[in-house]
Amino acid sequence: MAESRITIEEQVELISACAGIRTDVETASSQTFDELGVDSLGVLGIVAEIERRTGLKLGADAEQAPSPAALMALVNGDVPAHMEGA
Amino acid sequence: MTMVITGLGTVSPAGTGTDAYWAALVEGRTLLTPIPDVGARGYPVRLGGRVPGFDPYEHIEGRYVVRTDAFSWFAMVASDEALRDSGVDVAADPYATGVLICSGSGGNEFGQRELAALWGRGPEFVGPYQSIAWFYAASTGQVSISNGLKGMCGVLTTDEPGMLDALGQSRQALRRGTPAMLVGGSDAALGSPFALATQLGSGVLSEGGDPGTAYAPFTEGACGFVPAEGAAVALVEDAATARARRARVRAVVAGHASTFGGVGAFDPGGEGLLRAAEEAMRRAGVGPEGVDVVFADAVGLPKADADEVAALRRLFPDGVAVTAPKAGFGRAYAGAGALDVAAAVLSLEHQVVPPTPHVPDAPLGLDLVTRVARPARLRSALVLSRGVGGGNSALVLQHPDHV
Amino acid sequence: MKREAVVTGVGVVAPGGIGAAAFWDMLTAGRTATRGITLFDPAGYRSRIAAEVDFDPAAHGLDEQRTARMDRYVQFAAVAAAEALADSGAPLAGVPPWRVGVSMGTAVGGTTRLDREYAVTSRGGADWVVDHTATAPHSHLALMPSTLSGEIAELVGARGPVRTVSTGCTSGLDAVGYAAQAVEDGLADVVVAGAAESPISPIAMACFDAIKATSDSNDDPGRASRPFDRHRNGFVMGEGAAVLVLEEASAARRRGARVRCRVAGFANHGNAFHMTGLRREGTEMARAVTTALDHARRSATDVDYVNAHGSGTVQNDRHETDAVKRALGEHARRVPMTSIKSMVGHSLGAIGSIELVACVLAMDTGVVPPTANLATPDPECDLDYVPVTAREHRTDVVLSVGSGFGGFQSAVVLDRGE
Repeated sequence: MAESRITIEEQVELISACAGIRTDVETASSQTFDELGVDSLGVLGIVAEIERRTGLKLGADAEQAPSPAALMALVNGDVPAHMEGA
Repeated sequence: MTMVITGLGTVSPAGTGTDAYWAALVEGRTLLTPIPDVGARGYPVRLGGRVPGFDPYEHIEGRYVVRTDAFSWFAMVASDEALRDSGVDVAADPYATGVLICSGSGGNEFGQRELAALWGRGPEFVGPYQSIAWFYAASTGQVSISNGLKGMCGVLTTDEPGMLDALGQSRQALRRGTPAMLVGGSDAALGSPFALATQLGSGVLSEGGDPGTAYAPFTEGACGFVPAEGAAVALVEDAATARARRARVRAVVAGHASTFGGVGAFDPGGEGLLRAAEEAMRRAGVGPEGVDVVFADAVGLPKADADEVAALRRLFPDGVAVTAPKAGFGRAYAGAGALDVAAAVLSLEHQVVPPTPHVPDAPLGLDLVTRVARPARLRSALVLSRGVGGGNSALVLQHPDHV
Repeated sequence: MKREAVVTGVGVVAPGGIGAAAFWDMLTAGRTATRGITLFDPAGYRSRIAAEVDFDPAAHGLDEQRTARMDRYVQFAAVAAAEALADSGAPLAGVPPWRVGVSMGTAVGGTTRLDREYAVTSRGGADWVVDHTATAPHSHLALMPSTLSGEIAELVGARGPVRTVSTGCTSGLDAVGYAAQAVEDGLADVVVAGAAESPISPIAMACFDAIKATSDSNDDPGRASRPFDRHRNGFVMGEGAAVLVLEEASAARRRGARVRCRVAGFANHGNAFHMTGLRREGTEMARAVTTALDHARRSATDVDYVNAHGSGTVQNDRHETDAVKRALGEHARRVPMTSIKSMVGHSLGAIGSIELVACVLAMDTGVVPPTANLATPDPECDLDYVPVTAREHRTDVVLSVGSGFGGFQSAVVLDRGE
């Protein structure tokens, strides 16, 4: 079964791979996607990749998450998300 | 209205930048190398003119790199060079500069990766950038966005002659209130085996394996052209605007014309090419005696070459110096005409005609510059180009001192 | 004397209506052509609806030899071009072929063929270095966008400037704008202009799925395309082609042609902001409108009808509403502005030309087509979008606007001449 949690380190990696922006744990934890330079398409790519990795279906809330921290809270269950096929 | 080129940029099989490009042209260097992987799979076409060692991250911000195909990388890098070279202050009025970058077949390598995701894994594996990386307008869009250019934006897909037609279109834009245009052609199809595979049946690509003989236009051994990748971009503006800001004028775009010769046929008989050249020269106000060098289309197919030679003989009964530097690095689709225009500008500037590599001797009745570059008094250059889709275009460029 | 470009013939292949008469019947009746996708199996796709053309090439005189190197969108264009030429009378009689041009737009080109070729040669996506021996004959030509205009040039016998214009979703406006410029500047006397697209194919649908730009109202396809409606949720893919015959005005009058309208003004600007995103203010689109009106020597208050881009995405409709207000001022509230995408979907590069044909027909008939499916307007979209029912309305000056990926904003002004 896929690991259904993500870490800030993973987000740093995804921001680089999906949005082409190099950042670090501290910056990614404290800034918004906008401040990091990640646009709406970049967030879509990050969310799609998290969905593939975790098997979660995150939907519109995740795509509108303002920051990596907010997205992580959503994925890691601080906000309800639905398991695909579950 | 006189339209002039005040900035130039290239990404070519000679590398990044016009200096590297001109150095290779003057030497007549061979820049054809094996295309990775496809030989092992039995593709009959094995050689290409690849841009060597191109790392997009050296030139372009990462957030642009991940969302664009190589054809847009080349366009963006060549555009940066052209803008720097022109010294134009684009920020002063964003609407003052437009963009028109021609594409041949779009973002091939990026597109093939996404096609693989779709067909191999499913539609949900197609990434968000496919919609903006793959289509023909990607380069114009990204060049406009990354440089803040809001003038007239366009994209022509007329294959090899694209840049020539884009310069023609720019005149229409300049007449209607966009004072400057960044125009070019860019292509990077060689990164996609699928793109190459679909062309193999067309019979126009050289199957030669020896870089020294694979692409030898105007010779008995001519057996098609070697495909290449690359881009060239020029900043054009009204001569009055250029003068007012004391810009260095690199060449005058004196006349353009285009005709149609039939899909996939390279203008059988050469009548369309002849007509385009005559019309471009008429619009430029130059007769045959005023043209000092022709940058030939040089498809490298015996029939197409013979038709071009026949057209040149009718245009220039007293002869003219002819060259096809692309024999050294290949024919870069939508980048082909663009790189020829860049070669012609550099040639006028240096007063040197670069040679046609891989052609040891000029064929009878054609003053083809072979083996070594030829210094000459160059007032005007005629650039000829035929596209696989059927367009024939001609462009007259002039040295600024001879207008 | 100043040269001007006039429209003397139109042809159209649209979802729900092949031929100008059927197309106009459908639009003025407010019928929608959006439905579940039949052209491929859309299972697994987010958006499984589209506005499809029921098209039989043989019924339109296109034999297999002809169609072998023509992707579906080129076939549409060929049928639309034949209709436009017939409609125009004999625009080419006595005109040297060198003075006849072609200017055709497409955003994505031969995607129908592309998917098929790729799936076969790659063994369903398994191989990176695909099997070159499995490619179909003519595949290269069928996949090159340049052949769109080339095939039309062969069909009509044009040997002048022949271009394919590919500025994404503004291609259909830009191709006609460039054609008018070519006539004005004396580069050609007749230009066959228009655009074509057939993007209802797996890769094109998937790439819009990925950015969630298309509607997922899969259970209610007929009402899925809802421009300016509060409940809109993206555009519905369409397909089709339209062709307009442009002639130099004085020559058209000399031969006694029925002059339908003048292509009076055109402009395209980049927004230099984002490939897909739009700034709410719509400054660049407004600028394109103003430039096009200036070229037409028209003022904002002359505009009788606005044919909207109206794609039905939340950001587009607000952007466009603000842009039109910015450009036309208070007059924006008095002028009907409609989106036919509510009925024929959004056929990417083709739609601009299809919309221009609708504009010509609106001028001809004194009727403006409605915006179908507009039940509850988005409060942020507060112009007169002519909901649901067509309206009798005399139109002498039309503004058609378009917006496309890449940031391109285009405007075309049609009028009856000065």
